[in-house]
Amino acid sequence: MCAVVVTRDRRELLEGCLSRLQRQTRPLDAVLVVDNQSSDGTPEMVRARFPDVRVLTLEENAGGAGGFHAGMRDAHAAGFDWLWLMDDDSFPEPDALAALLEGAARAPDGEPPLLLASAVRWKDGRLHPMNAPWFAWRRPAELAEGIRCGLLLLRHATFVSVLIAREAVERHGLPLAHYFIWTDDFEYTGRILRSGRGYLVPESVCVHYTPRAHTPQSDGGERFYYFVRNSLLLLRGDVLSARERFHYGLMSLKMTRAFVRTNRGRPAAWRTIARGLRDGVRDPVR
Amino acid sequence: MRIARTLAELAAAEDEEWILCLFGGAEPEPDALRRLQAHAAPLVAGAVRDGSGALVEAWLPKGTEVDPDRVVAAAPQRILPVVRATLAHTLVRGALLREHGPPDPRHGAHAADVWTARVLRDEPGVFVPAAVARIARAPRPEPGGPIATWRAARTGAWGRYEQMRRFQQSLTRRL
Repeated sequence: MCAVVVTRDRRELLEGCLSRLQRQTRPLDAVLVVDNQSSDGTPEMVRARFPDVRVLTLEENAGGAGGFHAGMRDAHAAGFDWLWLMDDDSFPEPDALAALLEGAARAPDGEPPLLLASAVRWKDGRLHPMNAPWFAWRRPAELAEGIRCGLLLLRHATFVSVLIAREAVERHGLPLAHYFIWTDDFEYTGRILRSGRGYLVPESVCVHYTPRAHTPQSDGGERFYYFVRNSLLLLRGDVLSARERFHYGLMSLKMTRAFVRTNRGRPAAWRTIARGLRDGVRDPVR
Repeated sequence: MRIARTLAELAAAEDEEWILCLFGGAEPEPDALRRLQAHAAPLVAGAVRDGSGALVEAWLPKGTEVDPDRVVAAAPQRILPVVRATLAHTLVRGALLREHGPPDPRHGAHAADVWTARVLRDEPGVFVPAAVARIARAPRPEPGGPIATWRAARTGAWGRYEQMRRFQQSLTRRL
C-alpha cells in the first residue's frame, strides 16, 4: 500500500495532507511525494517533518498528470499492490483508507474491483463539485449489485483519494502525462472502468481543501486551456463510447459557455478557448 | 394492502393505503415486503431475479437525475433514490394514485416510466436491491409503439435525448 501525493509550491497544505496520512487507522506501507519543482522549501519540509516519506523530485513541472504518471510508475515498479492517489490539498479522514479496503472486501462476487474512491467533500460537508462522482448508470445490473453491498459503481473518478489496484496499471498502463492538468483522471479512470469495476465507498471520506468549491469553468483563467484541449483529446480517443462522447461533448460545450460568461466574453477568454481547440485537434491522443 | 398485477388493478386500488405492484408475473420472496416497507418513501421498488439468479435488467429503475449528494448519502443504507421506476416489484402509496391518477394505458410500454416520473417529481422514491421477487423467465421487453411513444413524449417526462432514443426504438422495434 503506497500513497502517491503530487505537490507543487503548497508546503503548508502538503504538511496537512501528510499529517493525515500519518494518522490513518490502517497504516500505510509507504508514502511517496512527487514534487513538481517546488520552490518554497517543500522537499526540505518533508525531509525534516516526515523522514519516512520518500520524495521524488521531477526535472520539470509536469503538472498533476505528469506527477501521477511518474509516481505511479515508481510505486508500481517497487511492487505495491495498491496505489492511493491524491493531490497535496487532499485531507483524508482517519479511517478513509481502512474504509476503502473494507469496501474492496465486501464488493460483489466476480471480478475484484480495480479502483475504489472516497466520497470527496469540501469544507462545508457537501460533495465537492470538482470531484462529483460519475456513476455507471449504463450498467444498471452491476450498479444494483453494488448498492446491495453499500457500494456505488463508478464510470469515472478523480485523483483525490482514489485507490488503484496493481492489476489496473498492468492492464491499462499509466495516466497520460501530456495532459498536464485536468481531465487526466477522468481519462485514466474511464479507461480502467470501461470494462473493469470500480466503486465509490461512501464511508471513506476525504476533504478536498480548496479555497472555494470550484469547477474548471469557475476556477478558469488561462488554465481553462487545458480543459478545452484535454476534452478534445478525450473525445478523439477510445475511452468513451459513442453515446458517452455525445454527452461529454454537450457537457464540455456548456462548461465552455459558462467559462465565457464568467469572464464576461473578454477576448482573453476566447483566445484561451481557441488555443485549446487548436492543440486539442493537433496534439497526439496518447 | 392490495396486490396489483395490471394497470387496471392498480387503477382500481386507489382507496388502499399501499399497493404492491407485481406487473410481469414475479413473486416476492418471503422477506421482500418487509424490506420494502422499511423505507418511508411514497414509492419503493425492489429487484426481480430470474431462474438463474441474475437481475432482470429491464425491470430495474433507471435514471440519472438524482442529486449525487443524495445518492451517496443513501448508499450506506444499501438503497438508491430514484425518480423513475418500473412496476414489476414496487410498493406504491395509495395517496399517489389519489393525487396523480393512475398510469395512462395509452402510453403503452412507457406507462410505468411516465407515471413514476410524474409522481416522484417532488420527492424521490427508493430502490431496495435486497428486496427480491423471482420469476422463472422474464418476458422479453418490447419497445413502445410509435403512437404510444409520441403520447408519452408529450407528457414532458423525458429530456430531448431520451425522446429521440425512445422514438428510434419504437420505429426500429429494437431496444
